[in-house]
Amino acid sequence: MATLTATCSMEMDCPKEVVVWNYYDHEHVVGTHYKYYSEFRILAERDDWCLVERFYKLPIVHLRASSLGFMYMESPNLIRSLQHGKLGMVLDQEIELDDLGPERCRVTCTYRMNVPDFARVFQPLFERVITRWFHDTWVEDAPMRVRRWKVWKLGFRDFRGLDYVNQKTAAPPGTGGYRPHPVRLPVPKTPESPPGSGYKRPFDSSTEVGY
Amino acid sequence: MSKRANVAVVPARDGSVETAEQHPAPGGYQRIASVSELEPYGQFSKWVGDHDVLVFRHNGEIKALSNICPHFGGPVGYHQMKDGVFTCLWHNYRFEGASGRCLNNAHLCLRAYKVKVEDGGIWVQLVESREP
Repeated sequence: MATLTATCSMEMDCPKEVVVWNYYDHEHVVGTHYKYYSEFRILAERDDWCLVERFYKLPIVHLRASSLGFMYMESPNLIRSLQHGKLGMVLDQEIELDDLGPERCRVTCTYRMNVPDFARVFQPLFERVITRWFHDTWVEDAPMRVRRWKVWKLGFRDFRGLDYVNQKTAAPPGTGGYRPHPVRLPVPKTPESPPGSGYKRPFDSSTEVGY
Repeated sequence: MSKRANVAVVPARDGSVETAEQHPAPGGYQRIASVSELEPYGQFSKWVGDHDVLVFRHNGEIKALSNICPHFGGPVGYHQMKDGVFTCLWHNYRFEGASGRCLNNAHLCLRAYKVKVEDGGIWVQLVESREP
């Protein structure tokens, strides 16, 4: 057996807890990443583990693929995701989260895939596809995480919004200051319709005005 | 199709992204943009102080809603409005442009801001009451 590997690392302007929220917010893949993901199903989820089936299109090779993924937290600084693809191979992903101060962190993703010996020639292609995938999804996740952190500091409450906006009053003193973002898993979901059917993207192209 | 997502403007590290003129007029209205900024999409969003305001043209009228999805805080106006409905980028929550009503969850609604158009500018009332 040979092991194909790739490592990607980037820094984020938000605490690592926001990144954890982002990884466990499965529902966003058919929203934020609507160009890549067409559908997903949560087969099981409790606390910090979940079993999710995803349908997506890979960059560079332009292959439509799906995988069954099990994700859990090995520690507050390490998320592990094991994804089993249709070809029978398992992608082992480790997401390491390091604090770089109260409002900044580093995310390092290490990908490994065990393959038969003859397939070690695919290492350069593996690295290219994984690196592109990491970059493309990062470009879409980064503004989401930074925005989430911004509205959170303004006092955002899930399923309510900002009280001072809704009540049409001035923001209370101190608004925008540091506010811890707790990791509460699992992240609440929008009810599926009908139950068990999963979540599908409503469109795969759009006129984007931007953030 | 626009690809502006690739050059998304994200908040600065100190959270101060507002670029609009911030001079409240009598009545609490602030000039946040010129009418020409509605082109070419018929809509734009902008942080003004602690508010993210989505301004758009609907049935010939200029309206403003909160651009902050009450679900998880996503940008409601990221996609261009289609058939009078905005779809939030993050989780596809849908909101009626005319009313701000959420079509996915009857308990959620976007705050509507009062708007005035004067001297080629768009003025929005961010604060209507001093008391919470």
